[in-house]
Amino acid sequence: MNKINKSIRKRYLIFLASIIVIIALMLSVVQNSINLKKSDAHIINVSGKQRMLSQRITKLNYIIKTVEKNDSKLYVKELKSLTREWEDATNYLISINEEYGNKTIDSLFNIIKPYQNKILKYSKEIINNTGSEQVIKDLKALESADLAFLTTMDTIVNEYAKSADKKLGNFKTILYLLAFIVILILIFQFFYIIKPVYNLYFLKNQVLEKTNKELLSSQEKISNNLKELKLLKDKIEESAKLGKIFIEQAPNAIAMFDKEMKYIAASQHWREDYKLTDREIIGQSHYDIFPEIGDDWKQDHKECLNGAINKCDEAPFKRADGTTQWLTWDVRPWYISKGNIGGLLMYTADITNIKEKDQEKLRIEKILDNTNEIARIGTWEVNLITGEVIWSRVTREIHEVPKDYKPILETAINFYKEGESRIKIQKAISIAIEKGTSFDIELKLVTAKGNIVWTRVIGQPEFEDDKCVMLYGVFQDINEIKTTENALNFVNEELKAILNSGPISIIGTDKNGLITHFNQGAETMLQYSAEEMIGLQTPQIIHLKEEAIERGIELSELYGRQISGFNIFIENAIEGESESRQWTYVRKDGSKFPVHLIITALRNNKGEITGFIGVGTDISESVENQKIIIDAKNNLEILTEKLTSQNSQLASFAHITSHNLRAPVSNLNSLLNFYKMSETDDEKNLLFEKFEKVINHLTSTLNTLVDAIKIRDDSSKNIENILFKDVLNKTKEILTGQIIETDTNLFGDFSKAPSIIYNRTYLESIFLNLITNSIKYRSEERAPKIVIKTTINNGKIQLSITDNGLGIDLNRHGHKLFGLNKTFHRHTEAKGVGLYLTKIQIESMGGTISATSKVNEGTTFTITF
Amino acid sequence: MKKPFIICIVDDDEIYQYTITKTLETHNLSRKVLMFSDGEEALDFMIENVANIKDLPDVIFLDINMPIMDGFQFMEEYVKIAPKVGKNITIYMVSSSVDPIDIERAKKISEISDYIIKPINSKELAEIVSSLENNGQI
Repeated sequence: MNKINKSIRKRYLIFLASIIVIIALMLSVVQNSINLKKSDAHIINVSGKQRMLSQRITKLNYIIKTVEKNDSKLYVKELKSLTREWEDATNYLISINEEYGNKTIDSLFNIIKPYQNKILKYSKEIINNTGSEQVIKDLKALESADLAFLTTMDTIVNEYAKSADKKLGNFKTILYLLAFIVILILIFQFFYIIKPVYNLYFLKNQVLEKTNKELLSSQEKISNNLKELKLLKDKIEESAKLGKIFIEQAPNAIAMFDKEMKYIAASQHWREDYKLTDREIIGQSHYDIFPEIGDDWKQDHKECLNGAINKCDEAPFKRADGTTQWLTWDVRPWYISKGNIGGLLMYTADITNIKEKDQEKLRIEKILDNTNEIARIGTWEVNLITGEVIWSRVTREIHEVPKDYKPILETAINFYKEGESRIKIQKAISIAIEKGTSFDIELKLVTAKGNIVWTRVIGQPEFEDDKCVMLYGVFQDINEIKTTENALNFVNEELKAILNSGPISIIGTDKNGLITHFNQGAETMLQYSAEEMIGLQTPQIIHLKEEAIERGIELSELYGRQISGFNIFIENAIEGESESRQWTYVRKDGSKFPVHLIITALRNNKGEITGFIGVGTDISESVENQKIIIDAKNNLEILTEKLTSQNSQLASFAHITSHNLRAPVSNLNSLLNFYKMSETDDEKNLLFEKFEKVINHLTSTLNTLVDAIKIRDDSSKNIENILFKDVLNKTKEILTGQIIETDTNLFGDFSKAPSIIYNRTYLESIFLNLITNSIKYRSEERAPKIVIKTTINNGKIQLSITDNGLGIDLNRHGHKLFGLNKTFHRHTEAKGVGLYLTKIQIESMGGTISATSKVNEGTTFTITF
Repeated sequence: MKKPFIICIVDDDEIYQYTITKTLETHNLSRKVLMFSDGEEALDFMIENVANIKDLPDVIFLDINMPIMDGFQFMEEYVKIAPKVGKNITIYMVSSSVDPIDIERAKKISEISDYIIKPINSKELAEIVSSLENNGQI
């Protein structure tokens, strides 16, 4: 079919290609004939024109002949150009005709040529010799030649038209031919292409009809078959149903597989055992449902499918989820008919629970054995009828007898130490036998190796017909426990003695703070009796209330939550096991004393707090001693401060000497050198002036230094109570002139501290210096305003002097503000002495001076006395 | 013959100003002497003439102890403008202070060539000037 389609397509393509070729061919033929027609028309045209030209030439020659020689020039010129055009056209026609190849026209051209040459020759002569006699002669000749030329040319034109007609006829013939060919091709194509296609279609239709018929008949057959099949199916289903019911409702885990190990049926029990109740397994492969089944089992199944029977009482089934199922199983084939295996029947039972119980039992036995070993517990049995005694391994070990030792009742009792222990056991056994009473006693035992061991013996009689037939029980080595217990008792006694001796208070509380223990030391120290405290009070009663509250605030801040009441004492102990700090205890009579208290949290073995214990030591004496040490330390600090200050003053003296005394001295040296070299008196006088200046400067510096030293010496003398108001008034008096002159406003406010015990001279000097400074360094832009004020800061009197003057750039000059001869303004009066002396005076009295300032806003000097 | 240097004196001590000027004149050690009474005046001059090489000094003799702006303060400011100064200026710290603190402090400033203790005599001065000349620093 495909092949036919392919060939049809091929044929169709050929058909299309041939049509295209034919159209192209026709187009080219038509184009060619049009071209030919065009050239024919052109040639006929040119020939016609030639006729016209020759007539015009003749006409012109006549005109030339008739007009005057002078006027004829213009016509001659035209004749010239006409002659050239005529000549060119003639040549063109001749050349065309050579291509054209028409023999009739060729011969006609041969006839015309002599006439043509004649016309040309005569025309040229006329042009060259206008107006001569010869011209007239020539004209005649020309006339005859022209006539002949015209006649012949007519014939030529006719001949051309005839030839064109002939060509048209040819063209028509060609077209008819082509049309015929096209029709031929189309007919051929019809048979070659359309016919086979049609045939094909017809064939197909026939086949289709046949198929339809067949289909109809087969449908009937199928519906018949279906009916039979349904009947069969119902039968099968019925029997399968019963089989399925048998398997599904079987009381065991049972499953039926086909040969591919796909489920045919499975009991509900099976589904439950393997947790398959929520999924459909019928039709699915056993191995898809249990991907965890290993190759060994698969091999077993294969063997069973070949007729083997596989049974197992107990085997683990490692499930994909990690659990282990213990199984017992029976796998065997089922037969469709004799010797024809249809698949497998698998019966399994989940014995995991039984297995686990078994294992649990084993494990408990093992643990028990280990426990006995560790706890040193053995068992014993006395058969009173046979007199047989059975000891367990541990019992034998406690007795330190060999493994194969066989005791009897009498020898067994003889192991107990003679005296109390042996009497006790004998008594216990006889009571047990007589009255059926069990016993639990602790006894001393002498082992086979002669070691004395504490043992615990528990015995239980067994009666049959009111007669004791057996005694059995447990036997434990309690030597270690007994020894420890004894040691513990001893330690306890010892501790008690320690706790109650000496001036140490030991107070125990439960976790809520209720006192559970109050030792003798506490009783003596705090005057409360243990009876008054235990179970009734919390330690809050013996603590100073204010102190506790203060500590509570502290702790609340530290931990970021409210801490109060009893928690104040124990919070740190809870966080960090124990806390040690100083507290104040209050006795019953209200008197107080300092204690060093260590509070420890008591914890059980799980780490839970069960209570607290506080151990307090009276530290009244050591507090006293501490005070003395602190005082001594403070004194030392003051001394150090003084020494440091003196040291810095010494250093400042060294600095002054270096800067302020060496400078003038070096100047004196230089001047002296010049003086030695100077020649004239004028020079010498000039130098003397300089000497004087230096010496004056030196003197004043030395005076200042002497003043400073003096201040340091007698600073502690002459102190008296002075009113600040008085000092200010005196200063005002001294500076009256300046104050008026500069329009200075002075304000004093001494309400906070009106007076001071101080050296009067110094205080006056301090006021004078600082106020003078404020006036001296006033701003020109505003009237000076000075505020003098006293305050009390940290118990010390402070004096501040604030002005609204020029201010000082303290970043730049702060370090030398109080230095000697330091100045900070280009001010003629600046000498740099006042602040230096002021500072020395203040420091010699134990005070300090500092300054704050803003340039162009003012300065504040603050003196702390 | 006059040396071709501009020497700058920064010192508030009139007598020193007088003696050093006289020494420089007597020994023809300088072409020109610039005199400033404190650091600020000197600094202002330097800033004004920062690009004016021919007016800038070749050597500065700088005192420590001065009002307004002392020698060390001047150095702090000078270091900031130094990269813009179009001339390599040699600076000597000249002070009457023999305080080791001052000397150490001066030595730590790399722009300071040496620390000279007053008084400087003419011989020393001449040596300094000629050593600068030999080193081709000027």
